[in-house]
Amino acid sequence: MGAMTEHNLTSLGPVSVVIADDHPIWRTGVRSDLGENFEVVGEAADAAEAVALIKELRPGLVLSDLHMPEGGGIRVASECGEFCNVVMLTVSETERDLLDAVAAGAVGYLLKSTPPDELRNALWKASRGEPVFSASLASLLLSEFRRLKTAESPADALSDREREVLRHVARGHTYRSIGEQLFIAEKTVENHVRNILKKLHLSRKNELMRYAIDHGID
Amino acid sequence: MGAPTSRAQTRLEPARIEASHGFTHGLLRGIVAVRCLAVGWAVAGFVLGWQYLTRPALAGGLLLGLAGFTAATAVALRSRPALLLRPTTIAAELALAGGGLLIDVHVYDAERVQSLVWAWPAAGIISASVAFGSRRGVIAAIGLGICSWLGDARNSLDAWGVSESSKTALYVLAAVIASYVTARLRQAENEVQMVRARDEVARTLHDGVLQTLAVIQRRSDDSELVDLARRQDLELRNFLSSAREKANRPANTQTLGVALRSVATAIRDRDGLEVHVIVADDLPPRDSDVVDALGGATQEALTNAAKHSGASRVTVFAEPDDTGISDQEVLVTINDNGRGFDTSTLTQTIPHMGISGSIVGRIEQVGGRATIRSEPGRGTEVQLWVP
Repeated sequence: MGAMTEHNLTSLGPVSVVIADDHPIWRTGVRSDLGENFEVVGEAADAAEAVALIKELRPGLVLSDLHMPEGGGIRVASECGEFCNVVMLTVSETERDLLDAVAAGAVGYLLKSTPPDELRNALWKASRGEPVFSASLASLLLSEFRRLKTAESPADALSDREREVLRHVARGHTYRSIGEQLFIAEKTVENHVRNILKKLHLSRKNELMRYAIDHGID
Repeated sequence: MGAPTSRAQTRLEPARIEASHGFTHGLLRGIVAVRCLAVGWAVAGFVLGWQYLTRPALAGGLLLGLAGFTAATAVALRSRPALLLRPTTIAAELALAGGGLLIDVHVYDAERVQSLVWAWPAAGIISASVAFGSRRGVIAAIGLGICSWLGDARNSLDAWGVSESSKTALYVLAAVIASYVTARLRQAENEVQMVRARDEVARTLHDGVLQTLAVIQRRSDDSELVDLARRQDLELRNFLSSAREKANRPANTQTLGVALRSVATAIRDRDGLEVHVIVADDLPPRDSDVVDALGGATQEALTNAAKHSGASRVTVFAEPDDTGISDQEVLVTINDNGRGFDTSTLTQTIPHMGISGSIVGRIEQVGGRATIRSEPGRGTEVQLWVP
């Protein structure tokens, strides 16, 4: 992620974007919404195609649909999240596999109904590695961490401050207004969110391992 | 959008087959087990009562017939289970059972009132009940009872009353219980089907209609059309999540999510205020009076936001709150991006803003508490806690 952020800061040109979605009409729609700060360098209709394209083009930003043939957005995030910023765009705000996508390495998730100016704004932030996501995902994350807390006592539980930040996000506050309310810098709020995502990633991984051990899977 | 729809349909089929297959297959396996036990019982009687047999060959033939049929059904269960519920199969089984009961008594000497095959017909009766319902199951049971009586009438006319009528009663009982269990299982299966169908509808909507609505919202310059699409989008989402919450809630509790969303919809329709409702999916259920209080207080808060704040967007967030004093409270936060106000003026404005009476009052009545936080230029946040 770090490398791409530097690239965007130094080049100052438009962010190169790969769009992965199995609906062609959506791809053309979102392309026309992106404006001059983004340049669509490639489009893919399924996850396998997307992964190959992203590895070849190394774009600054990937917009991926959650549900796609050949593994969906989860595959895109887990195979490309390490070296580029993947944002999930989805129509559904309640599905738990969204958590898997974020845990797999997506930098954020946005609803497809997000108004164009908000979308551009959020995508610009995401292209610099800043985690962007909607209030409803914050709510899902909170539920997930509550579940983890009651199920086990993992080292990767949220700190009080992180939970506070997450609750503010779920209430629809922006990072700036959260910073103002908690008397911390906006950057610090962002860092908290990034740590929260890291913890989600860890806890999911641990859970998979526990599941594998419990069920005797090698 | 044709492709997603067909994808959704192909997904539905295996689920349906699997569900009904699991249920019926379990029953059929149970019936085969009954047959096996009955044959075992008959064989034990055959061996232990060997010295009383007057026609061992007939008895052996009868047992072979029953065992043969039983084995055939066990094989059919593996390869073609549907065969076991065909009318012809069941008729054949009932005929075999009736025949067995008629000749049953002829295998022993007249002194010994014993039956070799009496348990076996139960399987046929249960099959008839499962396949055709309780009435026909009972008719089959009575029919076999009569066969048993006819068979027995020859040598124990005096004694038939008690033993024959109790045998018939047992058959009838088997028929009734089998049909009852079947009905309950079918009901449960239907419920599972409905849940699956609803999930399928949700998925189809996500893949198709919601996608289209999102595209319209993005790509149309017609603000009326965009507004319509946004409303439809919201309504569909609310419908889907309400349906899910309704299905999951325990009896005697209300779903807070449903209440909050209907309040939000009413405000949006009345005042045109965009209200975003988020409900944590692990929200504990609450009694209806608590839900009513939260819904009413939320409505007041939203009305205030719509009338006085100038906000363009309000978020309602309901979550379990385990950070408070009590074990687990429900916390509803209503947060707007409006102009806010100086809370020190609150005491004067209370009657006009409806804050004291309507919001705090409602919440305190159910043992909860409410706070309001606002600053000029910073929006307003109302928080409602209930135990």
